[in-house]
Amino acid sequence: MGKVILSNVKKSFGRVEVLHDINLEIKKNEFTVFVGPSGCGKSTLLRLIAGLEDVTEGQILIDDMDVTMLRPAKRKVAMVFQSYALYPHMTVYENMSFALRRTKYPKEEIHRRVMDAAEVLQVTHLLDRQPKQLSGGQRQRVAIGRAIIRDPKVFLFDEPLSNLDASLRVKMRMRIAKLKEKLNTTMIYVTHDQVEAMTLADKIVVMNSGNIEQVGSPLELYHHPRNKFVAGFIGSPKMNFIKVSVTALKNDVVTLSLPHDRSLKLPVALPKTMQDMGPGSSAELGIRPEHLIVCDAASSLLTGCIQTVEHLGSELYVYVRIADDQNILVRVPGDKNFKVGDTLHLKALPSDCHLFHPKSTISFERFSSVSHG
Amino acid sequence: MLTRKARFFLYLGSLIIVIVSLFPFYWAVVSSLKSGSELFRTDFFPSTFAWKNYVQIFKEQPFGRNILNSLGVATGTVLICLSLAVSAAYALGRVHFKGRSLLLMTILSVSMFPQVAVLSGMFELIRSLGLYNNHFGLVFSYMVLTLPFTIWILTTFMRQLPKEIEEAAILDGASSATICFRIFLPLLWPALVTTGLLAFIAAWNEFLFALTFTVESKARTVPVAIALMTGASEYELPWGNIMAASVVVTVPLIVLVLIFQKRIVSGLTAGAVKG
Repeated sequence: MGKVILSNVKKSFGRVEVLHDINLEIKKNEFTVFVGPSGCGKSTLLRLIAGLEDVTEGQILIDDMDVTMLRPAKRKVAMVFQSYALYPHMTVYENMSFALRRTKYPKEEIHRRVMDAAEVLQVTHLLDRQPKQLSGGQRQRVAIGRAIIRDPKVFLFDEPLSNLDASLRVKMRMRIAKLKEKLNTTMIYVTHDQVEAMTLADKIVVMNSGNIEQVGSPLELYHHPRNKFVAGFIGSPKMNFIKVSVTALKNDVVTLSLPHDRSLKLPVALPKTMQDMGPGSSAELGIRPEHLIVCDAASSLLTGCIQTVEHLGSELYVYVRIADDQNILVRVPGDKNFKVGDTLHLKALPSDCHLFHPKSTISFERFSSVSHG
Repeated sequence: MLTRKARFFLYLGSLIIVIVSLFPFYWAVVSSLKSGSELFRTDFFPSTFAWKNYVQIFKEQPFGRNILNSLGVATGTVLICLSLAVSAAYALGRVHFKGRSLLLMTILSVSMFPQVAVLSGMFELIRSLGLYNNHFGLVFSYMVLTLPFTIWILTTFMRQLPKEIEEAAILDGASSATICFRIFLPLLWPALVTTGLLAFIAAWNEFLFALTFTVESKARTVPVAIALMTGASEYELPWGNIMAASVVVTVPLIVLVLIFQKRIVSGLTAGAVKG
């Protein structure tokens, strides 16, 4: 249950518009992640859906019902906060049953629901404790328990894992993934961590300065980022961007000139808005660090001197200077032995190359839609 | 580590402060145990223990009644004041509305009024409400003294409570009253105890309103009763009795402070650090 539709939603604080005309449809039982840098409006959007902030313009529908003007409690949504926001003076049991005690549920029903939720989240042995006697992970589980007990149509998570330490975060991430299978409810999850987004989401919504940049499945965003922002945000380590210029463009094949007088031919489908591209215009070539392949000088696209080598055990991050003001990062297996000062020759499959239009700084339109091999 | 010299001055300074603050009370205790002409000698230690003064104050006037009056008035003031202040602090601390800071400033400026300035107006008000020579009149007028600072302190505490807790309660379907009294009130206990105690002390010690708004000795509160104590002739001031009475009315305050001591300390520091 829980189809969410946002249509033309705008939000201003005073004179500052923080969300510009958001249109989004979240299908029922879909796990949607809002991701973006801090200040992009993702938490505000979540709070609009929860009803904690009023929409300045536009409409929010949950299960085809207009909830734009409805009080939060009437929207059948539940929210898990970053700081857990448990009631400090109540026991775990009282915390979890608080919402139901506001309604006219019979006591036995409330008890049954608390016990069920406690079992799902494995907090049954903690029911008599107060929040201050719990660890961070336990508090988070209780907070989730307090949300699921109300049987909401939509779950909202506001950066629920960012207060936990790294190892606990991985554990809780798996728990949430399991919970999603078990509950079969629409979930909307806000995070700035693209790893959380990639691992949990059915659908990722990438946001930047109050706009939705792209909506799609994790792999869609990884392989077909629509613009440079999404390309740079999704994937870790970040995609390399190399300044290139177009030397020829015909029959849907673009020829690019790379540093050191090399050239690369890429098949492209030129969108209408990109018609101004032609011989002489500049562009940016995007290649992910994991898609660069070490090769011999003859077949290489890029060549440079190694600046830094970072050993991560299983793999190496090698920073290579391919032109005077251009460093790129290459990810290679950990058993390779590279030293600072060595010369490295690199290539990439044409299908792993992305080309971005140079015009605007934020929204470089994807120039080619190269299908991934 | 402090050097020996620094420690010497630290202890010396502490000693001076302790003597200055405790000596008047000690003097009262010593004097209350003296009788007759002993009162006019300067003894730092009592030679005889005359409990006569303590018995007399209850015999010669309705002092027991006066103490009960004070207790009733102070308790009433605290209860009404706190319940009003909590609701006001919730609105002023958590609800955004136009003119909020103006209202807060007005409340603060009310607490700046000298008592004498409002005395005559208050007298008229109390008489027209039919509360003259009545404990409700005192409770009512003490609100003017205690409400501004209780509202201010509680508003400050209310603002420090995390917003997420309120929002979680809103999503859980709690009304404003539920949030205020079921969620915030329990979290405000230390602040309530602190402000409540301050209000209690203010009401317990208040003299001017109590003198003006009561007429019968039965209706008087303790400070007025003590001030109006007379001896056998109108030229004699019964120092022994006055001192005994002062000691008797100070003890409840000290007991209260000791009982709530832990709460006060945590109240004064709560919210200073993330807990």
